[in-house]
Amino acid sequence: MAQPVEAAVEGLVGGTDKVELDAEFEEHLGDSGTLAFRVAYGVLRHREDAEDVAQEALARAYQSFDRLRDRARFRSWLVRICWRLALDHQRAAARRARRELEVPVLRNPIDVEGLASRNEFRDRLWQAIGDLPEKQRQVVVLAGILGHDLREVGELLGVPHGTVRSRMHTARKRLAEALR
Amino acid sequence: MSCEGFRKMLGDAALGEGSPELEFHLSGCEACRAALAEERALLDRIDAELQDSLETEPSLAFLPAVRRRVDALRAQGQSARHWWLMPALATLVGLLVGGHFVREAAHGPTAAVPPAVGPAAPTAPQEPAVAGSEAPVIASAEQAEPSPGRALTTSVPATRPEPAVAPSQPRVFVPPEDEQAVRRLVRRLRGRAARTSALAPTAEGPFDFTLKPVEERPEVVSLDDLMLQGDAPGLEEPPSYDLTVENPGRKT
Repeated sequence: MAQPVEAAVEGLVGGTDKVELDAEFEEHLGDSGTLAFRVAYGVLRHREDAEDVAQEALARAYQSFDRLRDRARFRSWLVRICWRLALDHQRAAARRARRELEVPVLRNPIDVEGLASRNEFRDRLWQAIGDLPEKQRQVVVLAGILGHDLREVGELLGVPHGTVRSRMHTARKRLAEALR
Repeated sequence: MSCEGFRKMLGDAALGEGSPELEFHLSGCEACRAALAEERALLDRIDAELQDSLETEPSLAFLPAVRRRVDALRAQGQSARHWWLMPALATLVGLLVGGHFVREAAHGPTAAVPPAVGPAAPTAPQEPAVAGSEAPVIASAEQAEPSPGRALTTSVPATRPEPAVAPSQPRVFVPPEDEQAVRRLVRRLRGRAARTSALAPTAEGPFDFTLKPVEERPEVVSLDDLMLQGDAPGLEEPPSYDLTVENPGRKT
């Protein structure tokens, strides 16, 4: 019974649009919650921190959702919010000198030597990614999240496909040099 | 160009930017082909590692936590949007309470007033009274019918030291369609006055009941509030009356 009453009150104060917005945001939340987490994780490499940042990004997205003119751009908008918040969080954490690196849980058990080797490679990779210029870093992380679909990366970042390819090319070259 | 020179080009070649010279060299140099394969393997490993480490899922508690956060924000937003509700409700309650007291005042000292005694002295014989109270006694039944357009006043004896309604208190407006019922009320009061006027003397003098036509018909108090619903047959656009109750005994 509470819902109709609430809806009626919302209707009285011009809140009908808000109800629709809430429903629309809920759909986006289901679709893009994991994306937000992965973007944050791609920057922070720490699960709990990534969840906190993604949650904050989604909360801010909710608060500003009614001002988002092109709802089709929600994912792109969310990625940018999340990326920025994750960078801020990372810088703050670095200032506090308590940044942690997660030891990933491997899907297939391997020998200890292989695990150590893999972790070392992964650590060096993420160190190298962290050293990339921000625009290249963004492309690399999103490409990793999206299965290297550079066209979708371009759509998310709102930059031309050619620009994304160029940034990706330069970033991979740098990463290969760092890891060679 | 030596192998050392071509090795610098292998990075671009692994990324798909080979040159005809490099292709020609690779066709005849197994070491450089192996170096190119190594470069491509490195890039593949980078991509795979990147994708693998980012294909992680948030914990099961993540989305519920986000929803709780959004719900909290939604609740905050609603209370912010409805900031005016509390003042509006307070005003509404104030109006209702005030209206109740106005109505009580219009009805006069109904429950607390003992029957009036003694004959009433009309103060304005040409102007019959309309009373909002059932307690006072009206002196003259002949003065009950007011002339439209004129203010009619009559006097009734006071039933207690305090006035029923001070002159400065809110007035009760009678809608035109209720005029007949008001007149019936007046007659009833007068009838009661006739029955009780001999019971007790008045100490403070008569109350004045004034019936005044009003220019407009305010929607303040209907006759329903005077509990006379259904008692009024229709009349042809009679004027509205402004009913006031005064106690001349309190006047200075």
